[in-house]
Amino acid sequence: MINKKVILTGSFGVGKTSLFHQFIYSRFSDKYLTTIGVKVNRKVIKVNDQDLTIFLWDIAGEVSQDKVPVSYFLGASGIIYVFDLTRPSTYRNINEDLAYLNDLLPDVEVKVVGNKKDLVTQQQIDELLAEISVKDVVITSAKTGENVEELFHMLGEAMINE
Amino acid sequence: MTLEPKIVSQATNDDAQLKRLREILLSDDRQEFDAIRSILDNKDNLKVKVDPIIEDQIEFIQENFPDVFGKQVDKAIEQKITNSPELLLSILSPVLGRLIRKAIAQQLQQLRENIDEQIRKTFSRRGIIGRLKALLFGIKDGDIILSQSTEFEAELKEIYIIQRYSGLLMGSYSTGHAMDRDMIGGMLTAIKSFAEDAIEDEEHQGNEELEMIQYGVYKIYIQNFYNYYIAVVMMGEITTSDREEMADKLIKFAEREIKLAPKHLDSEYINNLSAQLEEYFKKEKND
Repeated sequence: MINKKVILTGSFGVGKTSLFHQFIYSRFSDKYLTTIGVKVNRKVIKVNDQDLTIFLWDIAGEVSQDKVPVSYFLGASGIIYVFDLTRPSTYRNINEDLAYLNDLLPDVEVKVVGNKKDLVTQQQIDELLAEISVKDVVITSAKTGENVEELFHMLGEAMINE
Repeated sequence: MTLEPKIVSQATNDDAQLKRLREILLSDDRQEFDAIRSILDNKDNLKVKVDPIIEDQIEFIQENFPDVFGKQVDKAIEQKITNSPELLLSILSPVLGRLIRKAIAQQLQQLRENIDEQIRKTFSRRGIIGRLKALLFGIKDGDIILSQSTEFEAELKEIYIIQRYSGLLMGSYSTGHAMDRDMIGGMLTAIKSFAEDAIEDEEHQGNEELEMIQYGVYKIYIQNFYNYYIAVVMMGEITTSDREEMADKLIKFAEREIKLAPKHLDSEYINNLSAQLEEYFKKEKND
């Protein structure tokens, strides 16, 4: 069994807590509750026949990443940066945010996630991806659970092989 | 007939001779004066003459500063401090403030505990009964106090060794049924980070750390180390000396047993450290 800390970050209202709940408890709630400070939970997943415990830190959303207390990021082995596919304001500063995270934790695996797939069409997703020019964006829906497990498995593999 | 032109002529001669005499007498002085003037009027010439003297003086002052100016400097500092003590305080307080505050707080806490203890012993029901017993049956005060003292003894419940920033558990020990230890490690670290980040101001940035959390009868004491921290859950009346004793034990254990955590913090490492922790504290208890 290996233990790793993973941070869920991004602007407010992008669905971080919904992804957290979908991953940990396999459930979704329409009720929006803003996260105060940070919430921690864990889940064991199997990666390459090895048990990996992911300690997931769901931190309060901020409009830019340099507003998040640095101490939350420290000690993390993985970061999930979430934006909302339906709200341009949540991915407008994506390159600056990713550059900031890379400066802060250069050796840490970062997964970029476009959430709320259930609210947009494939054409809209393609246009958006062309606009933000960020590679390897994982498109998820916390509501339907689409790609949520896959996201954490991809991250788990990357963290174990690092 | 008039004498006037002769007189004038005589006077002119006298003047010329006097001038001549002056020139003869003062010529050396004049030359010297001109030479001095050429030095004084010309900056470069003056520099050549004066620089070595200034350099010598500077060297002399550097070598003999305390002897030459010590008294004056002492007096000036003394005067400055007397006139504006706030200046000295503002310079020293960031450095010493934390240490002084801690020492004072500790002393006050100890004093408060002593007073509380004394009041409790004197006015508690048991205390009054004890004193009555002592009066009626002639039992010594000391024996009664000894028989009562275990009631307030601090009790160690749980110990967690937690990686400083990740919050991952490195080891733990519990005297009873422990909660979800991994979750405690994570949430405690989150609370610690949140408190330290939310409360700290510019003046104390990076200097202050959460050291204690109180919940009902439980107190969680946190001993911070460089890469990890140790959280101790205790119950009962915990005095400053209890806490200091516990801190000493933790530091001793940390020095002896805790090596840097491996890249992948796995079950084997956690189990080994937990076993060492248990063995150490059981031995300490028996000693």
